[in-house]
Amino acid sequence: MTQSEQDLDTYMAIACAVAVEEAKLMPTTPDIQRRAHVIAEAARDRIALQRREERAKRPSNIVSGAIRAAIMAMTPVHVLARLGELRTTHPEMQLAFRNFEHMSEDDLRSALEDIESLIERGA
Amino acid sequence: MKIMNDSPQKLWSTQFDKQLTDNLVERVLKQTTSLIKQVERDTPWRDQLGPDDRLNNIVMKLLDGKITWDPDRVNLEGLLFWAMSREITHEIRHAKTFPHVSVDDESRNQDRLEEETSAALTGQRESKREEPMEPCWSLFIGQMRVGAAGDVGVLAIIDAYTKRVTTRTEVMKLTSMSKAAYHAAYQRMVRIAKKLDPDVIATLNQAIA
Repeated sequence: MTQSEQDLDTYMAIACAVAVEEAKLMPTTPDIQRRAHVIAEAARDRIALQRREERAKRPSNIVSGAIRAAIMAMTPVHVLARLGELRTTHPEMQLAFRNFEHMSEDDLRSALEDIESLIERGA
Repeated sequence: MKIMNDSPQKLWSTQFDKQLTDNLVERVLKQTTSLIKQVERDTPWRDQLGPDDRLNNIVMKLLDGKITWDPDRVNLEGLLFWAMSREITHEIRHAKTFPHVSVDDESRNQDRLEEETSAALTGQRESKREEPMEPCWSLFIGQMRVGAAGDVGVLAIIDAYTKRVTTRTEVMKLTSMSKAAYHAAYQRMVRIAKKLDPDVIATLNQAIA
């Protein structure tokens, strides 16, 4: 940094100090209020838009009713084995219904599809 | 299961919501207006945007992640005004004055225009060979030191600023000043800066123009 650049930074630091102090003495006119509101609203609109875009990018936790072919091809025994395996490898997983042995074949496959989908989505 | 993937930007957006009020924007608008006025008084720089557009641009840059903000270190008001002052500093630093020759006048002889342009550019190159003159901000700081007239507190703050130490906490730490001593010296410094004779500044600017 040259001496001139250093002096410029020093000058600006002093100028900022003066500006902050002078601003405290400035009256708040309806015009400033209106202009400030426009800027603040534009910022709020932008952040709301960004949040909507961010949400849209996130995968939804709603799973479709479709069951993949690999699961459809599994026998109930295999489905139960896979469910047991997933419960071991993902102990943090909270299942609302655990009595898989009494489920119908369709419900079993559907439950496995739901769990596999959620794991794949990292939810 | 829940994914914890909150980005730093998302974390500060909560703070942004809390701090971005109409009152805050009003304060920064006033600060910016005052800063522009002062820099225009002290230097040949002239604002081309206006405080509203400047502030709006800074806010949008912040939201687009082009300006980083750590809410734990600085509040939003301080950040916006700091970013604004950096932009103005950048503009002053990179402001160049070029010789102006009108090329819009179709009635003028083209050869004559080229001749004038060439002469103006040559003149500028010649002037660049001369000893560089002290920029107005350096002269301003010199005037500040004279105006401080041996005021140890004021000179200590200016010295801290020359070391790029500008926040109150950092200046107090560097200068070992108490909060009260710092506050009093800061107010005296502001008074001196405001009282610098506009005629003297105008003369300085003319001298370096």
